Amino acid sequence: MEERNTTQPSDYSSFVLEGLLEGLRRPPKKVVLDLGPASGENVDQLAAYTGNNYKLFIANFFEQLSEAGPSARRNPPTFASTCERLLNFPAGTRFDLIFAWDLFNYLTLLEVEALVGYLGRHSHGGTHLMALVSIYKMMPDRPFQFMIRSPDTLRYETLSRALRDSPRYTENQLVKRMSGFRVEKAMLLRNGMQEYSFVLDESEGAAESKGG
Amino acid sequence: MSVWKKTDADETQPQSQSHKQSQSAPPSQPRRGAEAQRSRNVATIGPSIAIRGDVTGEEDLLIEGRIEGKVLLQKNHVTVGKNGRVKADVFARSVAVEGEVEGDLMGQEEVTVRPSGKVRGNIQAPSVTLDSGCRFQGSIDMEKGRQQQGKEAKPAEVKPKVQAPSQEQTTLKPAAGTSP
Repeated sequence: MEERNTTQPSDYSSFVLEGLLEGLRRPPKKVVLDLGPASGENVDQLAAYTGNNYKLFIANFFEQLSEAGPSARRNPPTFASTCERLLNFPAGTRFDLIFAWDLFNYLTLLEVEALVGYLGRHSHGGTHLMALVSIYKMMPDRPFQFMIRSPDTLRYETLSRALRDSPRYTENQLVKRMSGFRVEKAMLLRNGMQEYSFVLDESEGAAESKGG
Repeated sequence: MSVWKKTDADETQPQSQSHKQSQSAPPSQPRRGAEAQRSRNVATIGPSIAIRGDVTGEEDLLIEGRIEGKVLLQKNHVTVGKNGRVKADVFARSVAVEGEVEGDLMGQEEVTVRPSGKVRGNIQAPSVTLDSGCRFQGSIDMEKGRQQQGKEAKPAEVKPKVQAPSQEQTTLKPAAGTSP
């Protein structure tokens, strides 16, 4: 995002958000996961879109991961169990929409694989996952906070002035690690982010009930 | 330990109410915050007070101390003040959090987490407000709260996360002359 180190929030036009929100309008009750920090705006906007017919889980995953310490990220098996321990959604929970925001930029590809593997067990065919991937060389050293301002506008605000290298993941790199998910839409934004809408194939998901 | 309660993940009951949360008209009292609460006839659990067990009663409550157990004030407002540390499920007409809560919040009208508030648990209420700057981790289910509004919350269905060793119960009763 323009390799900036300010804390001023910025708005951008999202190319995938409106379609994702439209999918929430229809009954039955929708289940949404926000992997980012809590945002009152997101609660309000989602409530407006769904007519309150939704359940929202807010995970604040990066913060939880930071608090868990470096041992939680030591190797892929550990990270898989870390996801299980930190997220630990109720049995039977199936998300219709997952906002990963820019979290993947702060995970290794093996960690992305472990996380998406866990999320896939709480998804169903047709579950959407929204992610943003930095294409610039540098990025803030912790994820942005994203707020839904309108159906096609997102506000992002950096929570840190410090910068770090960006992994600059490619679409192929990510898709290989996202079992069952395919790219539905991808758009390169002017703010240095590639915006993705992934969707889980109809034959995938809900492996938890099969003991996966 | 999981923050998510093992409940109703697959609920699919549709409902038709549509309103934007920020536009809903909240009860005025919980929005006034702890300072306003202090000036009213509300029971206060002061900063030096620690309670283990269930808190029940029929008046509004300001919590500035510590509670482990369960808070059952279904007809009243509960405010967890900035000094309040609550490790309990809270059932109330409305709840405002300025301090810290680890537990579920069930509001028959609304639940508000203010900028200084920190909540780790699940919220059920017809109206939920997360103020900018607050910290929240858990789930939000507005429909559930709306359903409870019509049929009274049933706290007995929810097991307390913290078992009170002595099963003591603290009952708050309005002092003579202070009832509305």
